[in-house]
Amino acid sequence: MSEPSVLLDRAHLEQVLCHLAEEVLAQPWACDPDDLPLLVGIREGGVVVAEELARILSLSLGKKPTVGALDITFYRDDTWLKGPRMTGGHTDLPADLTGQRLLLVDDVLFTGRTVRAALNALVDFGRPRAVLLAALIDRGGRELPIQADVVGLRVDVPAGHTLEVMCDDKGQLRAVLQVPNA
Amino acid sequence: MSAHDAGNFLIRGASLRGWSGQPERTCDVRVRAGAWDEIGDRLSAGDETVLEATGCWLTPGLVDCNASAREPGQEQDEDLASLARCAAAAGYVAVAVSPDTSPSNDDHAVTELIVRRSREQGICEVLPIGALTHRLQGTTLAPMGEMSEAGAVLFGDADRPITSSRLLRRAMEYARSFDRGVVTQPIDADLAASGVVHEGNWSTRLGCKGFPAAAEHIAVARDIAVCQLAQGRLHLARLSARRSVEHVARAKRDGIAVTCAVTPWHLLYTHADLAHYDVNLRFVAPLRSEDDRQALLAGLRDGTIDAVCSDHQPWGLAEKEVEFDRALPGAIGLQTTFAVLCRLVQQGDLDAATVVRCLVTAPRQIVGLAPPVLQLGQPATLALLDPAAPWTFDAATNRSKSRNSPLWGKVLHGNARLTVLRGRVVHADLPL
Amino acid sequence: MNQPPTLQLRHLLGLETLDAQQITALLDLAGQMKAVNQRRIKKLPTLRGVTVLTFFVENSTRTKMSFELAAKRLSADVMGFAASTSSLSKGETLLDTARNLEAMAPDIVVIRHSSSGAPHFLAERIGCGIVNAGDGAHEHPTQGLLDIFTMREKLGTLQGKKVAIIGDLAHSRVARSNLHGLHKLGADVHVAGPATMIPPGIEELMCTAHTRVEPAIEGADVVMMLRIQRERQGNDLIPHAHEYHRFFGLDQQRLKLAKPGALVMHPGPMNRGVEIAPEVADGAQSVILQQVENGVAVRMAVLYAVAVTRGLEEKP
Repeated sequence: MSEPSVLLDRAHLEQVLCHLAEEVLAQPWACDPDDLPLLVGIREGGVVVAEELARILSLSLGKKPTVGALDITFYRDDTWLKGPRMTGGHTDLPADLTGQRLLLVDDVLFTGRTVRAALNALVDFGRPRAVLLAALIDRGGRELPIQADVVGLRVDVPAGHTLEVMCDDKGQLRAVLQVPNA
Repeated sequence: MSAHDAGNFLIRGASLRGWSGQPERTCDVRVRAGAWDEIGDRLSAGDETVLEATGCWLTPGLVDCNASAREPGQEQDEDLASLARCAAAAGYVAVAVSPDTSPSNDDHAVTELIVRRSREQGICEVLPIGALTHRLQGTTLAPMGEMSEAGAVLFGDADRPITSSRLLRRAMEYARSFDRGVVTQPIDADLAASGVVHEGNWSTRLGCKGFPAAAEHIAVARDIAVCQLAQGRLHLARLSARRSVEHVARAKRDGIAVTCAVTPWHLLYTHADLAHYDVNLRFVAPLRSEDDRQALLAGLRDGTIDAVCSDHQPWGLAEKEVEFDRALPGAIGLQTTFAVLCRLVQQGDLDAATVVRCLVTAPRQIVGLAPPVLQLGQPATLALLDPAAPWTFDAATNRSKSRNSPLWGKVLHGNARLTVLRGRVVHADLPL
Repeated sequence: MNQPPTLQLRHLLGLETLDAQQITALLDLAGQMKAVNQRRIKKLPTLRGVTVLTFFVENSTRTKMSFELAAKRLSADVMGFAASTSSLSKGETLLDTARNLEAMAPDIVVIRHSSSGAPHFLAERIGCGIVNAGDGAHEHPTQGLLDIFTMREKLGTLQGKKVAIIGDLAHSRVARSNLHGLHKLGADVHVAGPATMIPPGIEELMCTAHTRVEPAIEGADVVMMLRIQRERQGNDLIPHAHEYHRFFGLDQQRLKLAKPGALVMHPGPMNRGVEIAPEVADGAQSVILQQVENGVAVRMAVLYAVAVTRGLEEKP
């Protein structure tokens, strides 16, 4: 069995984040400072990425987009496989998302199941105008027909490995590790 | 050798215990054609079966002063035959059965029925306890004279409290004419209300209605006072509280004719064992505190408590597989009482002599049986008990029609190897 | 990312058998459920395909409604089995009834019963999750949890907080569940009422008992009044309601003994003018209706935890 290896260190992460921000800014729906999309990070990793992304976007837009957090514990399809999670983070979103443009943000896009759960959860907050998807890393291996609109880095990770996104206690991304599954 | 054979056997190395006029000693005993044939050291074996019984007790048989047979009326839970088989398998040769049948034993016809059926079965002597009052209702006296003639040995209203002190007095007085004692279950029904758990920290924790110890010992004190007034003979069926034992000790010192018994359950368990609402641990007198349990053990050791009764209470699923406070009280006990006392001996709480007294000698006095003698040439009645024999109480060993016991499925130590009633082998559990 | 710890909860029979960590986990979970209940669309898909059966052998419209609402908000299928105590005692034993319930293959049975220990009886005999919705005078764990949830929400922590529980402790399952839970979370619990209502050995449930209410209320952070069961037959615990109110009821004057802003709680339904004065019940310090609101969230948390724990066990 191989050891965990560093896929991205902080310097690389910064590059990937900047690339992701460029991708976002290249989209027509992201450029109006008066109608910025609401960044919705999927707990836990997506929230950190959304915060970092908002920071970088604010440099170009002159205004920091709002960041919300979405907890998908109760919408997962593997609850019955993994057991009840008792202390997930709270969802922190406006009570009604009807008419809003959302940019859903996740750290690693893999099977697509997390995004499926997130889409279901968002529907319970109203009827958004549009939902777009940003992923820091797209590692392939989709099990559902879901694709990201903007991606920071595409990388092939062999099956049987997990990408672990490491943060520090200030909520900054530190590194991404490739860890073989036990 | 199987049950019901005419007995020809030689019992080697057992100790004689519980015989009148016979000191405890280890010896060999020969029974031929069901009669006592010879006692001595190292008897030579003839053609009879030889039982190596070192460590076993050769007793005149256990006697129970309180069991419920459920016949007539509730034969689905137990009947006289199955009760007798339980008794024989456990070394009992006589069992006093309570009158709470359906109809209740408040009439000589019922008494005769019980006696006749048991005689015909010939497995165990069943001694009816007659009702004290008509239909156990506590209002008018039952015909004790006729029931005495028919074979009733004691009079009482089972676990129903006798509210009227005047009626109890009259009953005790009237019973004197027939040389019978009165048995009561001391309960101040008003104070006990509908309590189901000893009133204390556990009734509070479990949220069950409390049955204060005072609701028993108030009644004990009253019953004793009435007994003294009536100059009668009183037996208190099942005591559970320290103060009750103290009342009895004092009465005995004062020369009042009172005897009392406890159940094995109250010697083994306390209210703390009710943590899981085990319906088989619900009894007429509730399990009480460790302090009460210790007082019962001490009372048994010093003779204040005369006997241990099986309090055999067979109930089927309909009565037991229900909510704790709706379950009928009691457990089957005939087959496990000796084993429970053996465990208490093992733990150092009791000695063997006390066990013999409270299961063999004292109950005979309470139910009015003659002292047991071992007389050569006479038909043998005996129980050979092994206080260490391991066995499991389960469907294979149970002889009752019911199975409501807190010891169900448990491995116990102490059982009867051989029971003989008037020369007839009624139980044999022997590797031959 | 660290995975949050999971909570194993096969049944909820009482708070006595839970530890502080489990109680805290349930309260946290209830917090998340409460957020759901404050949304416009108050629904989670989590328990789709789970069947919850409410088996109430004792009347209680509110608790039953609260459980049913909780189950529905989690997308469980919920059905009710109402049985009167008398019809049970006429023939069918609790075991027979239980087996009938089991034959409908519920995942969870929520039981309310007038006999203490009835949920334990079911838990030992049928193969689904049992949630105790109140058994006799034993426990009412979801009420205890919602009371504690409400206190924690208002006070932050329960550590060192003085909680007074006043009324008929002898017959109150709500009080017992609160006593177990509050002690485990570090509260200083005082109980009070006439001695006819204070059962022996209550101190062993880790509280201080008083026969007058003033020392219990003095300096309290929370004053919880219990319902006086006026309909209880053969009630010889108090002379009459008026006298009870005078000596043991919570009015403005007595409430002043508590800490300023102390919470006033009541599990409902209230007897206004008996255990609690109307102006206190409706006053600024009363959180009685918030208790009701929190009840749904707490029951969602409990149903979720039990259902998922059992779903996990059924995995091959």
